[in-house]
Amino acid sequence: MKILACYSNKGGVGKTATAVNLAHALAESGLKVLLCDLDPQGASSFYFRIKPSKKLIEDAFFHDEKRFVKAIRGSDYPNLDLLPSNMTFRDFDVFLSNMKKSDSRLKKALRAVKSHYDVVVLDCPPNISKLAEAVFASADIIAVPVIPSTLSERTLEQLFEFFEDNDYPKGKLLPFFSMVQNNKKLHKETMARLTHLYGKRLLNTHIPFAAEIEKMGVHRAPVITFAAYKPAAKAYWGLQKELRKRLLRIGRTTVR
Amino acid sequence: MTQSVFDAFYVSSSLDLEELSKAVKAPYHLQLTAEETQPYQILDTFDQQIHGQRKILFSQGNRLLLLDWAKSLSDHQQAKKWAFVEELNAESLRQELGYVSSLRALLPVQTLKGRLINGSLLDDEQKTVARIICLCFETAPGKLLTLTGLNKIRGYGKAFKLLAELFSHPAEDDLTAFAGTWALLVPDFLPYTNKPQVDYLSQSPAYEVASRLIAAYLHTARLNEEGVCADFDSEFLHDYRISLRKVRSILSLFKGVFDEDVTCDLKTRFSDLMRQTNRLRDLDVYLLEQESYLALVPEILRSGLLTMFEEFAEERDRTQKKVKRQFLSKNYKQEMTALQKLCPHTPAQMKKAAAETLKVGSDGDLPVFDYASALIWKRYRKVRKLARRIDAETPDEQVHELRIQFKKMRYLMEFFAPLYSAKEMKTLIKSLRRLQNSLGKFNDCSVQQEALNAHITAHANSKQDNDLEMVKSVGALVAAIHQSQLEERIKIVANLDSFTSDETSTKFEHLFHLQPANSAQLAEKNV
Ligand SMILES: Nc1ncnc2c1ncn2[C@@H]1O[C@H](COP(=O)(O)OP(=O)(O)OP(=O)(O)O)[C@@H](O)[C@H]1O
Ligand SMILES: [Mg+2]
Repeated sequence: MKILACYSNKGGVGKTATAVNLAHALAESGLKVLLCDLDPQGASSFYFRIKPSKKLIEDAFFHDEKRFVKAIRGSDYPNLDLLPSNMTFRDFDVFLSNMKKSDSRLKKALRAVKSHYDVVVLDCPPNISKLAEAVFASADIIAVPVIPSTLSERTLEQLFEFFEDNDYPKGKLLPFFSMVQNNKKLHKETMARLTHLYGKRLLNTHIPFAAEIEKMGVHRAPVITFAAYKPAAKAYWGLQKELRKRLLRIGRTTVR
Repeated sequence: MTQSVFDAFYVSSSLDLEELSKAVKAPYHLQLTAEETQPYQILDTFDQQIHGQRKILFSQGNRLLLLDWAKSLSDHQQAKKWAFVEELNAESLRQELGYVSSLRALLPVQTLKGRLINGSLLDDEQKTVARIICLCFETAPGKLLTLTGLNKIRGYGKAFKLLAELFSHPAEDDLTAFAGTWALLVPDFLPYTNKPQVDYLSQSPAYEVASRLIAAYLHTARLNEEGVCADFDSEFLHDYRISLRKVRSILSLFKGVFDEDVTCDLKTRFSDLMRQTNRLRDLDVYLLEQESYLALVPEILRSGLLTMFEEFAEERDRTQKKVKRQFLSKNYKQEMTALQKLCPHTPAQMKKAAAETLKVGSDGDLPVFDYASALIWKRYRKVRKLARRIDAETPDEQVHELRIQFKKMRYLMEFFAPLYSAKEMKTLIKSLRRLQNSLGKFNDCSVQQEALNAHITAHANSKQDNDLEMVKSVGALVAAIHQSQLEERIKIVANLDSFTSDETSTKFEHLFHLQPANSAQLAEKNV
């Protein structure tokens, strides 16, 4: 099982939009996916029409495997489940490391309800906190949406510095351009510069700035389900393919 | 939608969806989409393996629906053309049908007019919290049968329970059993088996039992003709040949039951029939073994083998067409009908036949129990004697002889199984299985080597490069198969002890020899 985090230390850059559409596309491609909504605002849960669970607030949650498994909700789509938000994330690091150990009690509890997830997608809140550090330590891939603007450039630099200073493997960080407006000169220039700076670390897929993505709030569904042929949907499908390939390459355990 | 862990399934004559919708209380509501009435097909293997597991597979366009009796009704998409379970897209469906033989194609059993209704139970956020699938069939003019499956979605147990409660009224009488529902869906169901049951009494004359067994196997063979011609899967020909082989063994093993001249004539006629399909079966076997053959030779020699398999595949195509032409020919049909006519059904026919056509032999009037016991006991002692003489050094011919005699003994035990305690027969047959399997594999290996060597000889003088490559690869394959044969031989020798043991002897003796007093005499007569 692989952990794929959507993270940025900056707010409003498209982390949730990415997590939702990516999780859905990965599931559509045949992988068994669990999307964890780690943002207390519950935006991912909202897009899947899933109400936040009150039961999850207690601290012991991540130590009580049965309760954890019970909190998982089936989405409206095949192969995709969701862990709703509204939890306190103390001991979240315990949860993540248990997700990775194949013989942990958590894994056994999941197996007992026939939930062998191939990928866990994390929708993270935008800050560097204890939660974020747990993600940095255990995620296999951290997809970082970057709006091609001067401010984002600086934020990305800070993230790499933080990894450098704290000895997290920088190879996990995979930035990609989000909310791209090709008609904006500034976007084009920033993209050229960042491509030069980050080279092959950058993912090839760009997510365009698109009205459909904003409309997800109205449809409350992943963009592929209501605008399959629009560039935005195609971009998320492309991102899925790119990341799936990278996930497959990691570690010994194979993703089916 | 998660793989539903707890599903439910209901069957009723009709289902009032409007009423159901009304019965759903806030905060939930039911959203239903009904399709047009369409033709649905029920699919199964020729030997009804799906039905045997109390499941029913429906197909309509790109859609497959699997009903697992008393458990669930699930909906799957299948875009590609398919015939075998392993060709199905949906992994969950492949798993559910995992027990279906990989050699068996799925074929239409029945076509019905049906209507599919898909429904979602939604909460106040319009989130799907449970699903419902209804398949409604018109089984006869004005008569409906509705199959309803409920699927739970993880984390929404309460909503599922509410929905399930709406269905908790008791099922209608004739629909509680799988058989009842199946009978409504497939009214003219004729189950097929390659092991036809012939019921008889231990006092029935051996002649009667033998002729009824022949009739049953001949009928079974004929049931497979259509599948052989249509080339649905290779099992049709396999069953066809096994059935004919059974007939031939009855003729040769049931000594004295029929008149000698009649037996002789029939043996030739059945051998002639068998010969027509020998090559096709051989080719089927090679092609089915392709993967395991390839695994036996090193990587670099595989392309040579593939050349051979391409040739086999082409030849198989031609041979299948030839067999089909034969099966459709007037001569063939006449011969089969004539053979079927020979076997009497009613007592009156039996009397007439015994005197005129299928003439009774010297022992035909013996009670079958006595006749069978003596025959099996005698055959067993013969096999035991052969087995005792075999060790690691004995020439292969003797192992082959053992296999042939062993097989005859097994056939006899199968033909006459209904005469003996089912439980004892089962344990005895089970105790023989390991030796039987090794003998079978040993023989397969030698047949295959022979055939492959023939293939080499046929291409030995070729000047073509890829023929040379092929000859080299096939040579390596023969060597590998020879190795497997040696291993099987070791296993045979290892399993002989248990076969010749006192324990096995006692079992045989108990079943076939130390039986009611009067049988001993008759047994002597036959030995
Ligand atoms: N590619 C896009 N094109 C147009 N609008 C987008 C795009 N991506 C995201 N948005 C919109 O921008 C807003 C913020 O996006 P999103 O919630 O995905 O970002 P986030 O990084 O998760 O934010 P937060 O830091 O608050 O969690 C949302 O209203 C979303 O609809
Ligand atoms: Mg967010």
